[in-house]
Amino acid sequence: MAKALDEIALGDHACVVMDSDEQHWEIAAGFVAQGIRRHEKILYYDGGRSAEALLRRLREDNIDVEHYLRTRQLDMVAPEMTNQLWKLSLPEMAAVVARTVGAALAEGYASVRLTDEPAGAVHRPAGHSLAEYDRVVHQGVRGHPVTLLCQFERTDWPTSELTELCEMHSIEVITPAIYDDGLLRITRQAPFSTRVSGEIDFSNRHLVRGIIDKELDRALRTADQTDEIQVHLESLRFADVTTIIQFVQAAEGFPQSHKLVLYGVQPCIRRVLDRCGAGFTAQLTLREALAS
Amino acid sequence: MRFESTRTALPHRLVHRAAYYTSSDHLLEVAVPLVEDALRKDTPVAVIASSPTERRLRGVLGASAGLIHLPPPDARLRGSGQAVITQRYRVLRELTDWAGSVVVLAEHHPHRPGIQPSAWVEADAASNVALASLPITMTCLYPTELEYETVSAAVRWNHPELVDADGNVRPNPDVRTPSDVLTMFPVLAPPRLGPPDRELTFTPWQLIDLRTAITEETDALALSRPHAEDFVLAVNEVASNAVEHGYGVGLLQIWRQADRLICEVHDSGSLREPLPGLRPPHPSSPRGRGMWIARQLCDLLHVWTDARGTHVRLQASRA
Repeated sequence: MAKALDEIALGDHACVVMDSDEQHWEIAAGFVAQGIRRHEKILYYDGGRSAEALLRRLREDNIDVEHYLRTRQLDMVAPEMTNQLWKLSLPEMAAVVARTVGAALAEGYASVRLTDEPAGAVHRPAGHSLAEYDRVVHQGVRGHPVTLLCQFERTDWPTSELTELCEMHSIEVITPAIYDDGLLRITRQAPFSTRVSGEIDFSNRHLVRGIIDKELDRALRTADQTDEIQVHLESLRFADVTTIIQFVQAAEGFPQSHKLVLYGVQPCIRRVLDRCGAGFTAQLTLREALAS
Repeated sequence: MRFESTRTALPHRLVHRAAYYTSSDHLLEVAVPLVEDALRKDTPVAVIASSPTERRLRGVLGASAGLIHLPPPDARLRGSGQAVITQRYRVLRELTDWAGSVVVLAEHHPHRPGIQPSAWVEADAASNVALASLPITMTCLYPTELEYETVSAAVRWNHPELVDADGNVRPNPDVRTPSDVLTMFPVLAPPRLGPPDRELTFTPWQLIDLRTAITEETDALALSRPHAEDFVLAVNEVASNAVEHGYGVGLLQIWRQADRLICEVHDSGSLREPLPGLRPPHPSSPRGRGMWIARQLCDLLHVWTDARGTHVRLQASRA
C-alpha cells in the first residue's frame, strides 16, 4: 500500500526508496517532525552520515532541533553505532530492539518512532541479509506502540534485493515531486504553494524556470480563492543571479491583484534578491518561514 | 558592504576631461580655478591626488574649501585598472547618492610602483565604462611630459574633452571607444602566482563541485559566512560564464595565501566586450548582471584575454 508521509499511523512499519539527497532529507525530516508533533520518542539510526543535513533541514522547517536533542526526545544514533547493528546475530538484534523500545517507553513516552538508514547492511558483515534483520525487527516491535520507517537509497542496493525489501513492507511511502534532478527538488505543498529545495545553477536553471513558470501560471489560473502564490525557499541553499532575476521578473509579470510570496528566504539568497531589485517589485513579498 | 539598486536607469552623465600641467606650480594654476568654479556653484569637489599635491591645494584654497579626500587605490588592486575603477565606482556612487553632482580632480601618479603603463590605459577606459551613469565631471591632471607613449595614448583616446592652457574646454577629436582602446592596448595578465594549490576542471554539471571546493577554502581561511557566501556566488557567476561561452568546459585554479584566497577561472572562449560587468546593467536586462554583481562582491576581479581564451582572477581577503 502506498501512503504519503503524513498518512503514516502509529504501528505502521513502512519503507521508502529514495533517489536524491533532497528527497532523503525531506522524508527523514518529515518523519522526525511528525514524531515531534505527536510527542513520541524518536530514534534516528544514521547510517550515511546524514545527521548534519537532516538537522539542517529540520531547522529550515523551523523546528527547534537543539531543544529536542537536549531533551533527548530526538536521539541521533551515530553511524559508527548504527553500522555495528549489522554485525549482530539475529537473536542479538531482537534483544537490542526489545531493550531499545523498552527503554524509550520507560522514559515516559507513550509511543516510539524508529527510522534507519541501513546502507551498512548491504555487504552483510555478519552474513545476514537486511531482509532477515527486518523480519526480526518487525517481530520485535509487533504489539508495541512503535512506528518504523526503513529508508533505502536506491543506489545502495541491487535491484532484486531492493524489490524483495519493498515487497516485505506492507506500506511504501511515496513522496511525489514536480521536479528532482538530484541537485534541486520542487514539490507542491498545496494548490498555491510550492517548495523549492537544493541548489539552482547554470546546469538546471533553464528547466527550473519552465517548471516554476508553469506552477505560477497554473496557480494564477485557479487563484480566484487566493491573491497569494507561495513559494517556500527555506531549503534553497544556492541560486545564481540569473535565477534570482527570473524570480523577480516572474513577480513583475503578475497581475496587480496577485502577489508572489517567498517564504523563509535564506540570507545568502536574500542578499542576491536585494541586489537584483526585489525591494522595488510591488508584487514580490518576502516572509519568514512558517512555524512547522 | 553597501549595494546600490540598479532599478533606475540613469542616463550617461560622466564628463571625462584631461588637463595638462608643466610643473607642480602649474598644476595648482590649472586645478584651483576648476575647484573654485565648482564651489561657486555649490558643487562638491573630490580630490584623488598625492599627499603633497592635496596639501598644497588645501593650502591655496583654505581650510573652509571643504575638499573631499578620496583615498588612493587599495595597494592590493595595483596593476588592475578595472579593479581600481570598480572600487572607485562604489565610493563615487555613494558620494553622488547624497551629494548629487560632484566634480572630481584626479592626479596622474607617474611612478607608482608595480604598475605597468598599460594599467593607466585600462583604468581610463574602465572609467568611461563604469562611471558612465554617475553625475560626475572628472578632470584628470597629466604632466605634459608623459614618460610613456602608452600613457600618452591613454590621455588622447580616453578623454572626450580636453582643458586647454586657458582653462577652456574643447572636444577631443582623438577620443575612441573603450573597446577600441583596449583592442590597441589589451588588458594585461596579472603577475603569475606559481603552481596552484588546487585545480579543478568543470562542466555545467560540476558547478556544484566548484562551489564545494570554494566553500572548503573559505572555511579554511575563516572568512565570515556572508563574505564566504558572496565569494562563492562570485566565482560561480564567473564559472557559469566560462561554461556558457567557453565550449562547456572551464578550469578553476586556487591559491591559498596567508590572509587571502585567489582563484582563477579559465575558458577557451572570447569576450564580446573587453571589460564585462563594469557597467551597471539596465534594470530590464536579464543578462549581464552576474558579472557586475561578481565585481561588487570581490576584493579584486580582473578579466583578461589571450590566444588561449578568457581568464578571470578573483580574490577574497580576510578582513
